Amino acid sequence: MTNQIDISIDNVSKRYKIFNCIADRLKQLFWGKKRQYYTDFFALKDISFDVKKGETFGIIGHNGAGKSTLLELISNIKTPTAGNIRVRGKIITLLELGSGFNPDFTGRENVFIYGFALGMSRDEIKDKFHDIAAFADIGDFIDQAVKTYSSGMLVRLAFSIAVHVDADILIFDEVLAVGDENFQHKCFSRIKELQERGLTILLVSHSMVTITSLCQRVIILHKGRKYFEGNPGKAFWKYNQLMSVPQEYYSAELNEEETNGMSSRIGTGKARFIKTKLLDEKGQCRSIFQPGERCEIRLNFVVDKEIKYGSLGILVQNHNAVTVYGYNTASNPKAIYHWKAGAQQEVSFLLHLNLSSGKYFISASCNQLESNHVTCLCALDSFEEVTLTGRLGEFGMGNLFATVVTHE
Amino acid sequence: MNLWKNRKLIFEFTLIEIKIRYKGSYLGIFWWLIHPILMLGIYLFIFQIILQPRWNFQAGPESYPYILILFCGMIVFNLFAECLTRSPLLLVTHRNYVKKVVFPIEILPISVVGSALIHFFVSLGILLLGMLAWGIIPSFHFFLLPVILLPLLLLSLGISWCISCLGAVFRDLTHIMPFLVQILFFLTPIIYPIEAIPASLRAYFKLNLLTIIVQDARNVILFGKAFPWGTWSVTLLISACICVIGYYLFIFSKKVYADVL
Repeated sequence: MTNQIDISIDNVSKRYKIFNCIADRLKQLFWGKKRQYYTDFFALKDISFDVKKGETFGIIGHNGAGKSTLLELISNIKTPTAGNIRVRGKIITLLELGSGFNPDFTGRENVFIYGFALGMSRDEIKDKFHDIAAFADIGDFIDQAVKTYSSGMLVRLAFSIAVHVDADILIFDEVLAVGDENFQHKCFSRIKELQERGLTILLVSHSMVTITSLCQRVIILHKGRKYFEGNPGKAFWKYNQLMSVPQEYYSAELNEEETNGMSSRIGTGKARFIKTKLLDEKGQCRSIFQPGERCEIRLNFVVDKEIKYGSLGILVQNHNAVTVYGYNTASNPKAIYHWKAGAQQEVSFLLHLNLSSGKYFISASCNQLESNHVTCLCALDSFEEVTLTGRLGEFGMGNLFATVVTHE
Repeated sequence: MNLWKNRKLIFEFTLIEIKIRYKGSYLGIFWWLIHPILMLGIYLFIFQIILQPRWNFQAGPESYPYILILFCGMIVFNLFAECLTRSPLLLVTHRNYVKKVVFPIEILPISVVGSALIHFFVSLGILLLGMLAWGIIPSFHFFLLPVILLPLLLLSLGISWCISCLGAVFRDLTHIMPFLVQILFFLTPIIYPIEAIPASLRAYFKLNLLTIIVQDARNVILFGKAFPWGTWSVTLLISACICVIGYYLFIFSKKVYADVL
């Protein structure tokens, strides 16, 4: 990865004027700047960030957080009300798969039309047509009118076209959640391939798994503002918090401390982790394990006030912040905790480390269950590191302990 | 210029524009031929059998059949009218090109004019067949047709840019256009010769660029005569201005399309 900046967003805002009725709109036209008949709505406010060349950058946020608007601004489809956007290289934007298709034309014709719309020439598309059709894998349907397609086929064809265009920057808006597992797998591999080729990729998704497995950096948008920017692992926590904490909470009561760089505490602060330990079966502190061994994670924490319905969660992630395993006691009605105020609690999670070689990060959370949501009281992000030293030749995340038997 | 860079794209989208019209219909591309033939047939029936009007005011040695004069004016007018009626909804129907991809949308009006031009040529072919049927051979002046078409195309294009730009914001244009086309049709000497207009009003009618273009086109296609270069150059100049104004209006409004559509 070079240090060249491909996309530079500098204090960008996008404002919409909301008129109550058409008469107001006309009055505004008449009065110009002397009177105001509209209310301002900021879809985006003061957003700044840079995306480096070859980086895969994720954007997450609630519905209506301004993600799509941001992508539209970057793609130069809309113009920002304030701020600057600089982009180097050719952008291909996939905002809504298949929306550029004309239903009366055949798949083949639409490949050309869509290709033109994305800036390819006829010869270029001809050269790539075979690849595109093979990737979409819709067989003879390619010569049928697109209106006869299933939605899955439509999306596959559209995705296939887009990832075959020569571009420097690819922008996907919530498009990876399409198709069946086979196709999703194919999409992911294709994106990995494009990453290796050094393309800059911008990804919008609601799926944290997609984001963490593909992106190097993430921003969280919330109500049009940048809520967080950083590595996917941290973003994961921040995002979960946004999703679970009622919305009045976070600005005022958010409590975050940086501890030794790697891990951080997040939560409403009504509980505190005091001590954590990573132990082996013999009860000794250890951080390097063999695949298949058992380990114990011991958590000590204090609750500030009485919690009637408490739960604990644990999360194991790999170096890409992909969740390898997670467990929360909340889903087990027999394991609802009742914690008294001020009392120190000690709970252990016992884990089978059926993992391949590599470094894994363990996070834990302490939660309060309420009628309709879970509030995170406190959480420790990546507080323990487990290194697994397996056999050579193993890769992936899980460990299925392969042995080879040769039959005569 | 940006448009020249996109010439291949313009060509492709003109083809698409033509195909879209007939896609899904069983007779498909044959509608191209059927449409003008049917029109000519209807005129033939009404004006040759029922009404039998004569182009009385035609100053010239021979008198030409009314329906050919009518049809000739009609196809020229239709080129313009087609652009006029297609334009208001152009950006609305191509919303995806505005909102979902980065696309030089300014070429869309060109593809509309292009497809209207192709329709014009097909109709022209029918007209030529009709002329031959009446024993009228076009004179060498016929080759001046491209010169006559130039101001018409510039005018159509300029208006198309304007209307499609305004149509994105004011959907009402969609409803206004048919009336406007109808009014324009009657204000242009198509079903009557310009000589039928009272002399005092004639000058006002000549403010309508289409009047001049229709007259000129009839001269070179049908009457086999030269046309007045003076009025032609003025028409060309005004059309070119309208075209440039339309283009820049369209380009300058580009920023807002994605927000209003």
